[in-house]
Amino acid sequence: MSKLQKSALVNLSMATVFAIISTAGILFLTSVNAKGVVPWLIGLFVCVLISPGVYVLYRKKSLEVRFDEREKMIDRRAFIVAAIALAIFLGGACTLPFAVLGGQSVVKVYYLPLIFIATVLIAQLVHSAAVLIMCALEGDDG
Amino acid sequence: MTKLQKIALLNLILAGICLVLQLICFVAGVSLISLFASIVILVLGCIMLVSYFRRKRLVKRGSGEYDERDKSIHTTAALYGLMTAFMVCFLTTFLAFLIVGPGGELEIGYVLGMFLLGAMSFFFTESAVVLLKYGWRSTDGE
Repeated sequence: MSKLQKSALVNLSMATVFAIISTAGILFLTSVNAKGVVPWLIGLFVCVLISPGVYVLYRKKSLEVRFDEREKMIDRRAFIVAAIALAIFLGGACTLPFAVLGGQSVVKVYYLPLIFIATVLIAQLVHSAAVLIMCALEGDDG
Repeated sequence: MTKLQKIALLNLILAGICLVLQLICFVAGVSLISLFASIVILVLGCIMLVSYFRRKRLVKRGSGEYDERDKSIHTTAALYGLMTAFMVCFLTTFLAFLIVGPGGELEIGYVLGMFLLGAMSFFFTESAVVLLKYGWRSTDGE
């Protein structure tokens, strides 16, 4: 497995963990019907505590600085594919409810962050999958 | 000003107007003003789409009008635009969640408006970055 493939797998797993934790957090806030700034300050405080640890862990596993030119090109192409997927998913998630449910309908507000988290996860999933597929197509065995 | 700069300037002005109109739509809610603003946004969006295809035609034509440097500038600008759109979507999503509260409901038009706001901020930032990278007052694109 090449450095790029390892990096893609690490990114994919981290995005999945991020999505699970965020969704659980939003569902918890929804269940207690949290309002106002206090829950967000607690969330921000937790993020400030957690993020340096995650960053150190990520930096240790991130091997992007040692990519060669070919791997950088694959990464760039995968990023473009992920950006297109992100735009299509976000566009679909925002316009389809309007078309299906009708303009006078209402949506629960907690759907919005869920849409956002799903978009981030989809983009990361597509990016990692594109990297792995492109590496496999080029017969990259590391 | 080169043709690419002129297209970017046109997009910047149109996207700026659309952004303001979209914000007015958010504030005004469902009303005649919103309807009128939405129609104007639709028309301006069509003009922006035409200018996008015009740029694509210039790219396809190649020769001296679109070289590697132009490609690099437009890729960087698209990246900045994407980041801005992402941040705008993030902010609108979480501000709505914060203001309304997790148990609240939103009109479905807000979701569509959120996407439109993100899209317009993408075009606005992309055009601004293109103009900045070329140099605002340069006549030959250098």
